[in-house]
Amino acid sequence: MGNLISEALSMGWVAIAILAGLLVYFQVSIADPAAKKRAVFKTFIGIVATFLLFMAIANYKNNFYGENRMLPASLALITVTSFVMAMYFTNLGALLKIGGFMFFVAAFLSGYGNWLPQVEGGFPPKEEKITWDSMTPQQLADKGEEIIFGGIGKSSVQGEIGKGQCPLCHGFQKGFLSERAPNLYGLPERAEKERLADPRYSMNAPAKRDTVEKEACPGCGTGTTAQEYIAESHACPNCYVVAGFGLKGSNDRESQMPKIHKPPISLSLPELAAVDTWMYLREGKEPPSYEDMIKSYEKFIPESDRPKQQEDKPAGAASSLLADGSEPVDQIFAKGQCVSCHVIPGIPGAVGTIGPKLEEGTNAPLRLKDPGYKGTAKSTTEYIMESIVEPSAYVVKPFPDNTMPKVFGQKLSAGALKKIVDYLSQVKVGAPPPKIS
Amino acid sequence: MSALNNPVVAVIVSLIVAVGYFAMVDHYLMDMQGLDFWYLFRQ
Amino acid sequence: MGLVTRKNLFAIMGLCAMVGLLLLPIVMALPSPAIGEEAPAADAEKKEGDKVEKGRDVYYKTEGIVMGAPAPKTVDGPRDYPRYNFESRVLLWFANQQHLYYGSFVLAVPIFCMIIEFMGVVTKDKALAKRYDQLAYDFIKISLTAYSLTAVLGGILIFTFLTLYPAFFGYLSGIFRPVMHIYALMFVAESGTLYIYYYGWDKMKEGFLKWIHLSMSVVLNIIGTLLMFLANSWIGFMMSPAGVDEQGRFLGNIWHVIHTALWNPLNLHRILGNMAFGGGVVAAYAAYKFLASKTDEDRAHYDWMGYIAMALGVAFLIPLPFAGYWLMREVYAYRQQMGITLMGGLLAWLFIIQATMIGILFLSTNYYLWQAMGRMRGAEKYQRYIKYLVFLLACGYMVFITPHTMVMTPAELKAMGGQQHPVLGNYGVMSAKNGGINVIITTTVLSFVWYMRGNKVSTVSWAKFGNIFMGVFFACAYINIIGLAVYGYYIPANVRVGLSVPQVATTLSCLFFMFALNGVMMKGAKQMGPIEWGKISARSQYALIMLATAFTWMMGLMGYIRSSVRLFWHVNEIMRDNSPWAYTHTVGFAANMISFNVLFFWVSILFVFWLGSLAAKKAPVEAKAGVPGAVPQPAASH
Repeated sequence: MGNLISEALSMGWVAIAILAGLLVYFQVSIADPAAKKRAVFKTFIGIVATFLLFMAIANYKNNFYGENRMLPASLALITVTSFVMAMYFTNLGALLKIGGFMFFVAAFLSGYGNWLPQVEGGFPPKEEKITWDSMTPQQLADKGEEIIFGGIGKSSVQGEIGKGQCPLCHGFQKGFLSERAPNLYGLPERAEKERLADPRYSMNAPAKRDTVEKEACPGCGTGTTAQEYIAESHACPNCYVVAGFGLKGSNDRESQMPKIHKPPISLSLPELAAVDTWMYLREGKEPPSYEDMIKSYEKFIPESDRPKQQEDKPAGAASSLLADGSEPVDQIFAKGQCVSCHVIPGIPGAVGTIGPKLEEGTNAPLRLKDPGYKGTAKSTTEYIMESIVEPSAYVVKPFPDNTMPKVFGQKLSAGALKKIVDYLSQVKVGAPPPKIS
Repeated sequence: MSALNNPVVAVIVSLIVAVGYFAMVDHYLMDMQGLDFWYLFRQ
Repeated sequence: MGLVTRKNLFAIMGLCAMVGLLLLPIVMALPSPAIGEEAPAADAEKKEGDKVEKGRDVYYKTEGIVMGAPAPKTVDGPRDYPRYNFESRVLLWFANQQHLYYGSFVLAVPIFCMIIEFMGVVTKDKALAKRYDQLAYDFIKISLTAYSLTAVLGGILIFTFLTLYPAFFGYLSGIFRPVMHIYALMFVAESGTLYIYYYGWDKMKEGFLKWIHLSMSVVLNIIGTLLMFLANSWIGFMMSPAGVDEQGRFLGNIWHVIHTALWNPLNLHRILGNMAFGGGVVAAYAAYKFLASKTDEDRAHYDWMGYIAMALGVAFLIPLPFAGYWLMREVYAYRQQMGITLMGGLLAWLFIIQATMIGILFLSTNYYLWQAMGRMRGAEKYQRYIKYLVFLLACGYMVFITPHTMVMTPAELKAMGGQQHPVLGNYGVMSAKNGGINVIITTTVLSFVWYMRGNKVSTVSWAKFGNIFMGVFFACAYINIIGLAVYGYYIPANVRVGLSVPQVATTLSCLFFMFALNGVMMKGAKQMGPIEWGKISARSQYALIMLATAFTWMMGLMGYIRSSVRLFWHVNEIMRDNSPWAYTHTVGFAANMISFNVLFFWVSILFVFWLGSLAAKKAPVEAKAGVPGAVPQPAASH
């Protein structure tokens, strides 16, 4: 306050001095005592108002780059000034009062804006031009690790998931949990030595395959090298299913893995090449060249199916969320890969059999009554929420524990979770599925 | 007209019209969006 | 006789000149697409041997021949972003906002003029017709001073652009080259028309000539509206570009560039917004004159003027949220991410402020109407019920401004132990919020109905039934709105979202049915006494000023939201902002900036008003003759 006054004085002393001079002049020059009194008094009010005005300016100047939450105080000061002036300078009274009132309204609104929590939108993500073909294998592998796990060096942590969403089903390290899909440790070697040699793979004779899809695309043929095997598995998971990992009841003729180049995951060819490079490099193997990898994918993914490279897009998807809740609920189920393991009535493609069928409108109340239930949920919606965020709180028989990833509490936004819970709580046995919203 | 100027009759008629009208507004406008206004009561 | 026909001839010639001015830019524009078509053809021939480069429209997905340079990739430095020792963005913000304020005022007032002049022409009551005419003339007089300021501010804006953002402005003007020329010509046409319209007022006030004069105002408004549409086209382009390929190269179809995804919603929203804003400014002018006037005649005139301006402004304020809803839906359809940034992301707090302001606008309107009942004899019977309306408004307002969910990080989510706060999660559910705002609007409707019947007693035979029906209908409407809001808590979210439609329908039913019913009931009604214009409290005039200031503030706020949703793009997804100011400011900084803009506008326009009043003082009081005070007010005056 003190330094505000001194600053106001140092800025406005000329104006105040002139007014003070005027005061003295009136004192001396006006003869009529009544007029003299009035003039002197008005000048005095003028001095006060000028001083207040300079206080406001000083406050504005001081806080402009500093505590800008204090700026509305200046507006409030000017309001006071205007009303003080309006009281004594009646010929301008209406103008001053209106002006003062406007300053008051603005001060209120401005103050309100400053009182709310302050969020500053950070700088945009650095524009990085990804030039895939000129990367060293190590750079490519780093990119690959980021796509699989969401960050460099996160491959050794169970539960880390990146854009590719691979770890939802696959284990990547020796001994890591991998119930739903083969553990990919040692893949490059195994691909060449075991998979290609497997009679069920039927190398070079796709027609002989017993699977629901024989070829990735008509005339594509089968893989002939380890790299082509990997590429084919990404492009056409149904073409060959590792024994024991097929869709339940399909006798390993059908896979539950989505086609990675198709939505919602939509990895581009260079991204897939990066993923593969990481797979080789982390085991100390020499990866095939970038061009060879791209070629291997081009063999199985026809031009029209290749996802467009999103170059100039901001890394808007920089958040690590699988779904942010703005999507319709069927897309949330797809993006979270729920559909790979669960049957969900009313959701197209939700045919997985790793987990129970989700008819929670009927089932949840029964589960809550189950004496074996040890969770904390009290209602259907709470139960569903708990099952997603903490799958081990209650495990439906006969499904094994620890199959469902425990990451959805972090990987789905609050809005997405809410949509899932809303939808599932309305699914009932024997009733038509609810409307997708 | 004179019967309608009896307050009791007027209130009853008005109530029927207004309640009926708003029930229709609620029902049909929800129906137009493919939603069921009476959701809670059909449980 | 000869004199009259000569006058008529001149008037018709004037009108023709205006239409000519209107057509001028269009005629001038015609050759340009033709040239545009020839040029690529010639180019194509030349390049036949090489190759014609084709590009794909980012929005319309059509193929086109590349005709322009790609959007420049700017780098931070004095070449692309020269600067003073200050944030360039803030300077541009200021220049833009001031130009917009004056521009929308200048566009809105002639539309008012047209409406009021028309009302004057069709009114049978001679005295009233004269008053309307005088009012329209007053309006245009106000806008004339502001008009030159608009042009000056437009110039300042262009220079600010050129000096601070040369690369960006160069790119935009490259794309919009033909449009910008048409724009400039339109501006010339607007000026010409406006001056003919203004200076022809006294010469053309009788009979046939008056109709010609009225047609002139129509032409004037068409030009003005087209002018705004063109200005909107480059704003639309910056938000949702079209007509260019991914690198920002122009593909030869200027209509695609103009007609972007958000152009039409923006056009509608801006027309309505301008009108409401113009009403606010004129109402504030009237309030100023009312408070400053010394005689009863003046007070009566400006009280009446303020009332008309307020009523017109509010009439355009009511459909504004629906236009906003359309704009928002188009934003979501264009880029979902953009919609989320607005409503649930970075800019969501600004919408909380907006909700507060909408509440303030309606509260001020209600307050003004209640005060206005004071100038009617017979309105006392409603006065004692006002406290209940205040209660309803306050409750609706509290519910309306409570936020429900804000963006949450997974960590926050975990800390809260679920998707919602255990206690606060029950507040601010959308259907409840909608309930809040609908209660507010319905109450405003009720206030209006009370005001309109304030000094009258219905004489129709079914008056008693009509009154009871009206009461019951309003009561049921309130019950329905609040009931739906409560009902929302018991049903799942995907059913709940639908509840807003019957809620809005209820409010609109009240608006249309009750206004119509009231109109029928009050036809030929017995008057308890005249409306005593000028016998209104000074406080009511502050409500008008509040309305005007709040609306100006809201306009600044919404403009800021619309502009900052592009985040770090000059042109969304085409041209990046690589200046040091590519981040989004805090809410507080934005609020301070908006306040500054609002106050600058008001201080400057009050100054303009004051200058006008100096000029008026010199003129003799001849114009005042027509101004009533004691003239009895016919029922049709509101």
